[in-house]
Amino acid sequence: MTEMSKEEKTEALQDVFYGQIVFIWARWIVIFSTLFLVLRNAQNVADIQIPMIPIGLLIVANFYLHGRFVMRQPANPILLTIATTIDFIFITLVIVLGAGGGTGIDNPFFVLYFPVMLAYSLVFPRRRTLVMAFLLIVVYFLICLLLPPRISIADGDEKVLAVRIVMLLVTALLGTMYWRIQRMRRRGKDT
Amino acid sequence: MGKLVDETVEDDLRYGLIVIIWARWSIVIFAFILRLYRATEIPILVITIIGLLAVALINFALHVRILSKQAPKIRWVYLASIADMCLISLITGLEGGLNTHIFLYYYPAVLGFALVFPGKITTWLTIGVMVLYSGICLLFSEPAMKFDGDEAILIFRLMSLLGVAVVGNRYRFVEGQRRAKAAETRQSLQMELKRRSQKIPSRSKGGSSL
Repeated sequence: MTEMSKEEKTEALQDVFYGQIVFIWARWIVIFSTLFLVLRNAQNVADIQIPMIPIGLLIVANFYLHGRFVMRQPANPILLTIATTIDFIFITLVIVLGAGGGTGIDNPFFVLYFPVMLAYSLVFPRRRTLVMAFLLIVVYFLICLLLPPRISIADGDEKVLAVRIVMLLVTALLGTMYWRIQRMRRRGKDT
Repeated sequence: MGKLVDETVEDDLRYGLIVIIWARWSIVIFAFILRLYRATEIPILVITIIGLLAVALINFALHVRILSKQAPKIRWVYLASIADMCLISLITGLEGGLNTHIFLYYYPAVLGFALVFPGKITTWLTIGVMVLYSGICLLFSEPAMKFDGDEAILIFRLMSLLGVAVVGNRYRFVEGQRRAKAAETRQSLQMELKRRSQKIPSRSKGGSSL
């Protein structure tokens, strides 16, 4: 019994070791999209200077993680979870501040949740993935509910929000399903 | 080499096709429910329902083959994925291009093929989706797409679709490498075991001669 749990622990560490490159790629997508947003919307120098501070930090952090991965010194699960949480906070802040469009439900930046959520679900176990997806969905739902222009049932916003939330959940579920299939495949079991 | 690649693709499909099938079921079910909810125009509703039923039938056929442990033909699996993209694009075009939320159904569809199909096919399918969606937004958006912020929305959507495809296919590649490395280790261990087990009889032979 103890031997089995030890084996599972090793496999979980290997999941993080091999899988963290997908986090790094997901983060590059977020970085490039944000960079595009900042450079496109800039009216004066300050419009670039201030947002470039968090983006610059994100770039440095991702170069560090990418470098560690290439040197075969990957990050641990805790660090990866923290990095993913920072990614989600970063995207959420863009939505809250209304960069690239309106705030809340009107902001188009929410689509960047998808690659990050997928990366998380492909590397971490189902329970962790579902907790992360649940937290993300609750936060996004509250943002849409509380921030202007809020949800207008007359305009059919509830339908739009429902599709966004369901598709985010579906992405997490499909990712975790594939993770489980790969784990069984490595053990030589059929699905 | 070609055979080896083909076997890998078939093996990947054997294990991963169920993800594409569930992705398609999720699209069919949620699109069906949301289409019926607060529907306004009958022609769009009729086209959508017929399209969704057609996709559901194809998916059912693929699902049954998997459940009965029969491998579906790779060509049909690819065609089914292309059909998904075409249907989502058709509904997107009918619903108003850039101003509709229907594009969100691309995500599970792209995710499904990125996790299962080889890199080259994923690349072509992703490019196809991106070009198709851009074309629809440029030509069929209602109201028409303007270059005063609308193009940024389109670029975000394309970037995130690309992100999902890259993350999914990269993970598939990493998993393939991981399995190959494990198989290599297993093979070298087996060879070592074989080598050691061959030494014992020769020693015992020597012993008996004494």
